[in-house]
Amino acid sequence: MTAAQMDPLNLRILEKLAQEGRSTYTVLAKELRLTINTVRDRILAMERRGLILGYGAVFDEQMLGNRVRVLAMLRPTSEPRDTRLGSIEHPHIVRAHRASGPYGLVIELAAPNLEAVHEALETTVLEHGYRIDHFKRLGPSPIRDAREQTEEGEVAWVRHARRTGHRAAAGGILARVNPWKGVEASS
Amino acid sequence: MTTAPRDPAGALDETGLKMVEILRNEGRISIRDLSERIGLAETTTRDRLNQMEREGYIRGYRPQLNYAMLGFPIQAWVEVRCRHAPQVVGRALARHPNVLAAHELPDKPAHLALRVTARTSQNLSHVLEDWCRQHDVRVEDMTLLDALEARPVELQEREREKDILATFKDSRS
Repeated sequence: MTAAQMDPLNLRILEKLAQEGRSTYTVLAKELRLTINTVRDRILAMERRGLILGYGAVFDEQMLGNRVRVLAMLRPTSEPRDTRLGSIEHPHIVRAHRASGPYGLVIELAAPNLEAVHEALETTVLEHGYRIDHFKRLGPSPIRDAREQTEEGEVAWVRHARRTGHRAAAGGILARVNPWKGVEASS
Repeated sequence: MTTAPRDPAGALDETGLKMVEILRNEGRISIRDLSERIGLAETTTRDRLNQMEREGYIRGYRPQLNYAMLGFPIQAWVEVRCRHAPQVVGRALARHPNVLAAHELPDKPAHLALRVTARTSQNLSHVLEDWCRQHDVRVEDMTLLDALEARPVELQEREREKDILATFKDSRS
């Protein structure tokens, strides 16, 4: 990681992106009062380093007709686990994580009904050496943070990091800086 | 104005669903690329996207961050049992910087499921202990996630691992 990776400027840009992830470099530059080159170079650098993994639209799942939201806990079957899974993309798959422990994969889905959930898993992962262990039914939308009005933590996370002067760059992932006062080990 | 054909439940047509599939992970895709992928003209594509935004199907776009590289390599789904109203506790916890998402569990009235990030496993235990004290919750279940996979599991996994290792080395030198 280059030293400039998570400096205040990158955090400012991330905060803006977290609010309007589809804005053009030109618009972002104008609103941040930076040059277009700076904004573009910084964003491309963060993407190249893998700090920004991608961009996602946030959908109103209820409006999409997705009344059922579940976490599917999947176990690898006895067949050798297919690690070359490819990307898991499906309109009903919100996110997928590899996991440690008994479940090899944890997939969050939003769909009109359980049948559609099964269908989505069928066409994406069940052929690749995984079987459904169980589902955890989640509330249809994440609980909103009343103050920030954000549904999920990414926006709040960046804001918080900015407010508290998160400096991952200074010490990489072993940074001694503690942006989360009160929740960190005192030792 | 173009209107997307929808069934009475408000579900999108096939093209709409394809757009959802693409936009879930490619929020900054250009109109041109999007139009090619869904097989519509650029202007129609732009209209449909604008319409989905205007009508509230799309709430916004955000970067998918690599929390591991940001110093938070631990990510977990944690299930807690609340002594107090889960809605209220959920709202308080949703404000917590370590919480990426908080959900109620319809099948378990007094429970919440939370997606949590932390700097170390020790940090995670401290966060959870803190909640036990402040919000009177009990941790009942936890699944550790591979934080490298903040977005749909992909083939470049190994490259990212290399990146993280490089980061680790940089930070020590």
